[in-house]
Amino acid sequence: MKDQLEKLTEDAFCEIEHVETIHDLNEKKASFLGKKSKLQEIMSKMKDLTAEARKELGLLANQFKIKVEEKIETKRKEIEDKAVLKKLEEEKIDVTLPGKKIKTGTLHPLMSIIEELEDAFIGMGYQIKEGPEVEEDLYNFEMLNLPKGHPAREMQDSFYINETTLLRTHTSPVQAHTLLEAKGKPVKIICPGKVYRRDADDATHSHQFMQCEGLVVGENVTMADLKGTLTHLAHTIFKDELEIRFRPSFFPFTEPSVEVDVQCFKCKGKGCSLCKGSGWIEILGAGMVHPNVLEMAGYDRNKYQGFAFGVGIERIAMLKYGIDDIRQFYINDERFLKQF
Amino acid sequence: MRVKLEWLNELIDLTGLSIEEIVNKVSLYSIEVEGVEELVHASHAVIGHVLTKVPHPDSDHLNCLTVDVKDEVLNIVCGAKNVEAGQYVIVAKEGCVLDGGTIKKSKIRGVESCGMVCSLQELGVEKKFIDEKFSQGIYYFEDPVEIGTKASKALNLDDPILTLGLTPNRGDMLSMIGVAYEFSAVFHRPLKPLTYELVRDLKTQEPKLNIQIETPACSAYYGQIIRDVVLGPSPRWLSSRLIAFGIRPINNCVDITNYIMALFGQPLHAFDLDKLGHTIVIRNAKEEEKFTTLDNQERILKAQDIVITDGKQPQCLGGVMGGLDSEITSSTKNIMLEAAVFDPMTIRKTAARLNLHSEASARYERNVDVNRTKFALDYACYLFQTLAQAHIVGEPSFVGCNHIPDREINVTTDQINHRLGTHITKDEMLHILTALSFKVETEKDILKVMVPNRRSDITIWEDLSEEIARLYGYDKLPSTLPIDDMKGELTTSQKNTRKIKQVLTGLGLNEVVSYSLVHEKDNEKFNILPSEQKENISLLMPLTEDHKVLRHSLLPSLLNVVQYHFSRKMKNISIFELGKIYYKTSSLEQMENKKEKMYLSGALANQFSNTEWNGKVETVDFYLVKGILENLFSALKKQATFLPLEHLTNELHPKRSASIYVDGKEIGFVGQLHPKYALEESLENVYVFEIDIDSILQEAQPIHKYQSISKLPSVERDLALVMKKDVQAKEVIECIKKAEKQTLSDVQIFDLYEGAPLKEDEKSLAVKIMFTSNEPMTEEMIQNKIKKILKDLQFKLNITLRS
Repeated sequence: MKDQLEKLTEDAFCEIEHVETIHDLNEKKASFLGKKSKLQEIMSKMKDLTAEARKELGLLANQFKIKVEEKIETKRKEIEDKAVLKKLEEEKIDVTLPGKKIKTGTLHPLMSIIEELEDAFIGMGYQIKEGPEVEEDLYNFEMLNLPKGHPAREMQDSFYINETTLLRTHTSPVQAHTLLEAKGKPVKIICPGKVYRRDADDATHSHQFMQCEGLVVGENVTMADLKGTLTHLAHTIFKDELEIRFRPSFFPFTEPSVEVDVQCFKCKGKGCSLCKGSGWIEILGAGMVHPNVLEMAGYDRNKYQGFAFGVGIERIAMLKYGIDDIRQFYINDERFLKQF
Repeated sequence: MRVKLEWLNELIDLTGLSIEEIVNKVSLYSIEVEGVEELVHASHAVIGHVLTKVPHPDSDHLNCLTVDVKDEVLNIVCGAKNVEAGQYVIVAKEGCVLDGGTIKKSKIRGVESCGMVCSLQELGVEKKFIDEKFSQGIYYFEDPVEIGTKASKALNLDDPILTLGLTPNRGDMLSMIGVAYEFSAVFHRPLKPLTYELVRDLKTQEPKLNIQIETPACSAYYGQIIRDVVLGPSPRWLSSRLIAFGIRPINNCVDITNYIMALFGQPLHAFDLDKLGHTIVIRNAKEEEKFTTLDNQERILKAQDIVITDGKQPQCLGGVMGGLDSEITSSTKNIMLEAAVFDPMTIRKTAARLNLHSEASARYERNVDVNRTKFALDYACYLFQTLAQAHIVGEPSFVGCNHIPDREINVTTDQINHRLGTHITKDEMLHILTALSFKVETEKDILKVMVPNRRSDITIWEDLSEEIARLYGYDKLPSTLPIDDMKGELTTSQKNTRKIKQVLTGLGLNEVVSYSLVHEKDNEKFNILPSEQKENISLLMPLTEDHKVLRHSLLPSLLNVVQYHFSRKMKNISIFELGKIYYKTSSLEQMENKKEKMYLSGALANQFSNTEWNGKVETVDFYLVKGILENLFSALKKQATFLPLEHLTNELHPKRSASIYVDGKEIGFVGQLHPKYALEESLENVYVFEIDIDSILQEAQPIHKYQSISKLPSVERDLALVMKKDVQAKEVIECIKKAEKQTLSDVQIFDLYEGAPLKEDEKSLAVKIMFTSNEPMTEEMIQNKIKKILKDLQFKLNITLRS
């Protein structure tokens, strides 16, 4: 009987090895270990044996059972792993096919530059102000120290609606409004917005464009503060530690007035085609607020001083992205818009 | 302002300064240098002496010349009619680069030619500066010139000319002397005095000029009689300076007046004394008075203009242009030379109204320094004496105010440093102000600055702070940030604006920016303004018809963008704009009646999205656009209702458009373009929306209290309902919601069916109803709720359950 068991072990191992499905494996298990299995057959004959022989056979039968169960479990795992592998293979996809085109839109480049400026200046404690685009001559010119008869306010340069009303030619009237509202208190604002000039549209001129004005008024605001602020502005826009420089200029609403150049971001000041070899690029106009402007808005010119600057958004965008035609911003070609 | 360096060097010593250094320093410390040029830059062009001239054997218009150019004698074939033996001419030798190409040795009809005899134009001088005599042929010198000299040198045009971009405040730099003052401050070089010797003829008996000023717009008037002028060409040193300055040389008399204007900034006018007489009345013109200026144009004058008369007729439009009648002509012998000062504003108005901008008016508009007027006149007399052999008869007659004292401005060093944020010492400030030729007295830390009249731009101490700052050097300015306790934050409307853009770009729309000024016709479209606000706000002087009025709707501009894309075969587009529209409330006269408000508009067409290789295409339709807007309003925490279009327009599909209501107020519309309009405009399959978003932008978003989430799962029931076609989905949903208020958490419509076996006028809506409760709900409870809902639907809307 011992021989029988050994033969049975051999048979079981051999047969289990050749099984391919879980179903067959379960059948084998029943046939070797179940109630009607060969093992049971052998075991049923045990009662005819001696106690000693019974004990020995019992041990052997138990060993057989353990061995076969182990074998079956190993096989089961093997079959399951194979099945998983097969399923994985069947589920194979081409990962190089393009992803689904989920539609997204973009901000207009002028607007994203404005948002960038707003965020930078909010970080420095500025408020963002807005003002009307249809403006009174009083705020657009007179309160900015451009009295009647000043050459800069001639009819052919501005879009007048009637004798005293026009489309604002710069965002500076927001300065006047803000100062009047602040009633002699310190002010720290930027005001982005649309402005209009009576220029025929071409690659470098647009009858409508965007500006961002900045104004800081306090008791101790200096021209050095203007330089520091504009240095930060240049870093915000061009993402680089570029230097700025001031050149003397003239605006009726500031004194001193300066043009501000930033080190050419393309050549870092070495001189290239973009900066026409100078290493510098003009980006904006600025200055210390003219005392007449403060006085007209009800400020004590002997106590308060401040700085102001105005930057052309299109100019910044054109420089930053290398755009050569200002009309692109207003054509709104999706192939253009999608690039920002 | 064009500055010839050779001329400037006569007024200030610039030796040792390179042109790069000059340009760089002037740009950083003074004023923008817009350009540097040399009028004549031909390198291989020299002076030659024409030795012989014989006709070309094989031509009837060419001549064969031999020309001595010092090192050699060249054979040159020349086609100019005015070339003669004995002339001193300009020869472009082999290798000379001219605008037309490089000069090479060549054979012209068989005769060798080793160069070219040039005209001034060929050398690069603009035609307008060339005397008529030389305009049709070669240029030749009237007097002997050293043979072999570089042509540019012989013409006195071999030095650089700077173009300064003068800002409107620096009228003082509209003269060479003014520029010299400025350069003296920038380069710390002393000015050179102008010297001259003038002998006035005090013996000749001459009736005195009778000058009367009858207008406040003339503050000073000198009249000088100059007799026996010999008209002729100006010497080359003078004409070349005028050319460099940008004025065409004419004859010595005219050139001298222009030269003085360029040198001193003092316009002069020379009248023919024999035509003018000895009476001069300066007065305002009469209204509608006629006057012919020397360009032979009749001008109609106004009372604000200044005229110089002979006591009867105007002879000159004061400060702007002379008259034809008393002009200097080739027969003029005697001159009355005017040196006057006029009111800047008056001159500006006259010049602007008549569109008559002269070199004289440009200077008068920016203030002429009367303190220099007599000097300028004397120097002019000296030139008349030396260049036109004239008699300067007696002292000039004068009426008016001939001297304006310096303006005293007091400022402390602290004031300057506090404004600039610097620590500039008193000595440094003194040094800078003295370099500007300002007299300064000091008392402790107070600077008493005497600003001369020529610097009319400096009137307050802040102006002095600019002079000090720029000449100290802006590069030395520290870089600091303002110290304060100000806080920055976006306003509510700015926050909402950002939110709207975030949602719409997130949903796949591209932001556009279009023009606020549109064509009048555009304002007839999509105009949802109340009728009293529909009047156009028009420009007084529009540039084009396309941009004439302020817009009442953003959609015409957006549809232009759509058309742009359609015409480029880009049929799929989805865009939005958040921008202002502008309208009048009642009368135009007051500012308050002109309003602007923010609109949010969009246009979408054809495919919205396309996943391409697996072929799933989302096409734009009403419900897609509505869905986008519902998402937007939900982000803004606003409940929007869409109802059939309230106001029909020609542009919108009446059956596929809706009016949008928020808080019970109609705020806009969404829909498909009217098929007729779409066809006319080639705008097929376009859906648009326009929302008056202004008041929503101003609303701060309230803080919503959290709603507890049920621990139990929701129960869903689907119902297929049959109803008449004209029952609106909105009514169905509202009816269901009313029927079960407590546990009903959502109602969704997930299918619409029309057709057999339903009747012709029927439709079926499949509705998913969700019940949520914190208490367990039995099937019986749910069934009861459904029964109640169905009962209400049956009763209120005659809706039945589909069998």
